[in-house]
Amino acid sequence: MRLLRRLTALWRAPRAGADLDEEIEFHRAARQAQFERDGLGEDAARAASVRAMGNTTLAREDARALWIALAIESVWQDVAYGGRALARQPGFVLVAVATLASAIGLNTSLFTAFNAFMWQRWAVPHADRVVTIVNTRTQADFALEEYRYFAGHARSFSGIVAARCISGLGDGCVLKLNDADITAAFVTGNYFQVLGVAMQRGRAFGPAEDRRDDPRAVAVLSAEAWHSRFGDEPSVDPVTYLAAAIIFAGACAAATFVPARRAARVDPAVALRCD
Amino acid sequence: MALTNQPPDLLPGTLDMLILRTLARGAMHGYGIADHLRVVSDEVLQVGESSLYPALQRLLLNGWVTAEWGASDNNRRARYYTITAAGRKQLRAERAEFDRLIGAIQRVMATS
Repeated sequence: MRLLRRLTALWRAPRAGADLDEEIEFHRAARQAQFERDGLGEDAARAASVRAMGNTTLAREDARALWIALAIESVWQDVAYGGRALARQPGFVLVAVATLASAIGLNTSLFTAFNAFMWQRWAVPHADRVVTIVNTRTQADFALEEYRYFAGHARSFSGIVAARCISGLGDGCVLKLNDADITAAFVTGNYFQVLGVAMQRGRAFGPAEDRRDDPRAVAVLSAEAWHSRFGDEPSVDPVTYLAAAIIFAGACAAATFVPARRAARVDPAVALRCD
Repeated sequence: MALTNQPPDLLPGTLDMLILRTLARGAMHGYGIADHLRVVSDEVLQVGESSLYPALQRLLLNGWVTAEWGASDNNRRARYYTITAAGRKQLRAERAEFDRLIGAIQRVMATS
């Protein structure tokens, strides 16, 4: 109740300041009236009342400082109470804080990595309208003929593209280039056209070049690969980023293990009784 | 030297008690409180505005008084303070402590 009253006073501080100004002016006017009753003229009474009031600015500042000081006092009392309670059980506090800190750190790092790789929107126009088509029955990839059938008959999409990792050249979509791992895939000729991705340099390939009877070996480099593998500005690649995230997660897991084992040995009933 | 709102003529902590005691007689505005203290004390207690209004704010924030705007005798808008039940309880506690302190001082002063 007391805290609520103080918070309300802080909330109403601007209005309270105006009230105080009006109140002090009333006080001065009452003094002036008293001086006039004692025989002073209006001007002399006004001057005398101003002198008698003294430093009204100090009164206003003191009143305002009071509102802030009381609010700080309330917070400080809560902090001091919490501090005393924690100081009585330093071992338990250490275990609890270490466990919480490690768990929060682990959670944060895992979420950061997950968010970076799973929830980031694709860097294409209208990314919210891009969907992935999967075979939920067999989980197998679609055959090229199946893709062509979909692409030719689908009416709900403005276009359908297909991509497939380069098999036989490396592990999954990763292949070696100048002793460095890069991610690569075969894509259909309409890939950049359907996704609306423009080239920063050079040209992309189009549907006209996607022909079995006239195959052309055309490759498009990502801006990141261009920067990191071909001498432009170096930057952190996804593999490095993922490795860093895994190392960080591993360190957090190790840091969690010891405090968690200790915390598991604490009897909650005993801990509550001590508090 | 520390700055304080306490008038030099008052013992520390007595201003709140004097205001509460004055308001125990009925609702009053700030000027009325200061005037009452001055008259009743035969001009001894001259409570300055720089002490009075911060003290009233303190009493308000502690819930010992409430304030409402009303019309004064000369029909001007004035803020009237009223003591609350918590304020009366506080007044009794402060008065008991004050009596104990004054008694102790008098006993010390009465020794030869």
